[in-house]
Amino acid sequence: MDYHKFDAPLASALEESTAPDRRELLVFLHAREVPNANQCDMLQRLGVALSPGRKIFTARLSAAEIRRLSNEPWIMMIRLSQRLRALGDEPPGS
Amino acid sequence: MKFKKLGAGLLDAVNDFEAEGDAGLTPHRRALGVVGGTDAKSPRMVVFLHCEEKAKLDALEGPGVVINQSYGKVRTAIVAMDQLGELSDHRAIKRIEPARFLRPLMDVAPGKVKVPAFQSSSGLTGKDVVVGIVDSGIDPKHPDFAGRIERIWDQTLAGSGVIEGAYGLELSGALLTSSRDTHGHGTHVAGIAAGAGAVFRGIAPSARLVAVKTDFQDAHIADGVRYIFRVARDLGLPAVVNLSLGGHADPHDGTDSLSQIIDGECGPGRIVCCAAGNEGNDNIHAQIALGSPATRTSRFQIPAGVLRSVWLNGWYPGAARLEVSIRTPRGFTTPFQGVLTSGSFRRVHNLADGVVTIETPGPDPANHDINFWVAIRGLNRGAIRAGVWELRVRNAATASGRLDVWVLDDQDQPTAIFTGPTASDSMKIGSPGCASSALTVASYTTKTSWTNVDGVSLSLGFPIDTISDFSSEGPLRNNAKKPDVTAPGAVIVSCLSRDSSGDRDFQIDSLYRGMMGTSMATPFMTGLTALLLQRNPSLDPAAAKTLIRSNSRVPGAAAGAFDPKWGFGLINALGL
Repeated sequence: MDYHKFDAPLASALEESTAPDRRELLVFLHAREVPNANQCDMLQRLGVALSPGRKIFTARLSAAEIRRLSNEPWIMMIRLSQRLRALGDEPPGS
Repeated sequence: MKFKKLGAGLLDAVNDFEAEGDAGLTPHRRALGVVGGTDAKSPRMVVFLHCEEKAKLDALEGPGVVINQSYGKVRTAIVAMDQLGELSDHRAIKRIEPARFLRPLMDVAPGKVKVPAFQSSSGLTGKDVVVGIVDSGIDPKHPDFAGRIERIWDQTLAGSGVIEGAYGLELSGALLTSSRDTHGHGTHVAGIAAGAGAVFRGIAPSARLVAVKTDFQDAHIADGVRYIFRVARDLGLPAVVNLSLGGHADPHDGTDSLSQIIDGECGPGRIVCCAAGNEGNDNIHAQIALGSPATRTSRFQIPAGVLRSVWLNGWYPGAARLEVSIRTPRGFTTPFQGVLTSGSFRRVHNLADGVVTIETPGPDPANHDINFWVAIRGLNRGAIRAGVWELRVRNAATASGRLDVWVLDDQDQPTAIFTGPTASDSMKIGSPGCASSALTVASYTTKTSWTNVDGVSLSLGFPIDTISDFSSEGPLRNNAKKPDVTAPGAVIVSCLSRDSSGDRDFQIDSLYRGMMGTSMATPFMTGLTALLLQRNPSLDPAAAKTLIRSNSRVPGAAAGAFDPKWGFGLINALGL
């Protein structure tokens, strides 16, 4: 496992995961280059949606899968998805 | 006739009509919704009917009575004057109010930025353009969207998903109604951008709509952006995507994953508009100048009994090296922790006031800057100890620079805030508003008073005709100029989702409600962008920004000036 490919929130999520084989972590995968055919196969087996020419992918993976992927030299970094919020309110501060 | 059921002005009009016929209505025509009919003996009046939400009023309809809605507590109708008495006698009718000639709030906002003039002179309506909304969903039954919702990808429903993600359910045609916008935010946003209502009309009322109902995870939002652009490409149409959402768990420089995906997906005929954020009044950002080796502190306040998780997201230049520590309200401290480049960079500290986790990885591959992440949790999963906490940073090297820190918590509105001199009203635009190619929109207040569904007049104490004070300030952490433009965002009346339940004070009637935020300003620009794409389907983000900037102005500033709050200023659509 290459710990330093993880951002801080993902590192925490991995350490706190109680089900390492359950696909419960929503992540962004950053490849160094556009993946080649073998790399695409690997991603597709992980259920990653692919399309030509892209280097950043989203995926729901298990902690174990993320750790294994981090060992791949063509993976630059893996970041945990964050929850955003809607920016409209009725009364301010509600 | 049940006189008590007739609203102010209506009883006078009825009495005058009974006494003098059509002539008696002359003094009332300017104020009330009196419309002439072919039968001069019985002109008609536009009215609001108050009844039970599910009341069946079919039996009341006929010659002289046309009721426009079949549900809702307040419905509009056109009623012949000589039928009003009979209508008031009906048990299902609680009250009859006259329609009045107002300036509808949505019409106030567009006029103030010359949108009607631009629409009129250009003839543009958004026809043959896709407006994409990634949000809480859309009400597919709202009449203002009738026949124009192309698809809904509801990411929250169980299903096999779409090409961009094998989750959720894609809906079209009769199945659109399987998706519900229970929050209402997405419906409101869609109405501003592309509603076709007669009274509260959107900017691009002929645009095709593609909606993504999301769970607001930024990875799913990214999938939604890709989905909308792919659907538009399949339809052979240009598209503009509206993202009235945001967060602060990113580096605030556009190098986060969602911003990078947006930048990669945009191009000719593919534009994204993002909200700047609503933290203009919230001290969520602190700045610390890093001098020669010294310890600096930044205080943040955690209120009592509310929060279970608080995070600090800190970023500084890669050439510097800081050591980070936390001090609790009662003075307990973690050791100082510097960058850890081998093995785990995570350390957990169980202090008497809470559990503090500090993470100090090496340089980020995307921007080469250093991030540290502090998580504070209450003991035994309880609330975090209230009081003033302190972030302490010690410069471990001689390199100077600046540390920027954002505080996040587990509430819908910012609750933990920085206090003291390090709190900084700047750099509060996070992802995806910080995406380089996105058009990032600040909010302008055009209206602060209205009459709600119960006939109560309400007003807010915001300065009018100026930047909304809640609008987040730029620039970005790398000093990139954001926001890009300012547009009306308060108070904006737009479509109400029938499946949502909101504050009744802000509900106008059964179809419309008021909201405020940079969320409302953004679809203004999304709609305008749709009009520009109709005119030039190959318009790219850079050209759109150049055109918009050249038609925006910060009040009192020179042309082309940038302001951290206004961006390049308030849009003036006339010159577009």
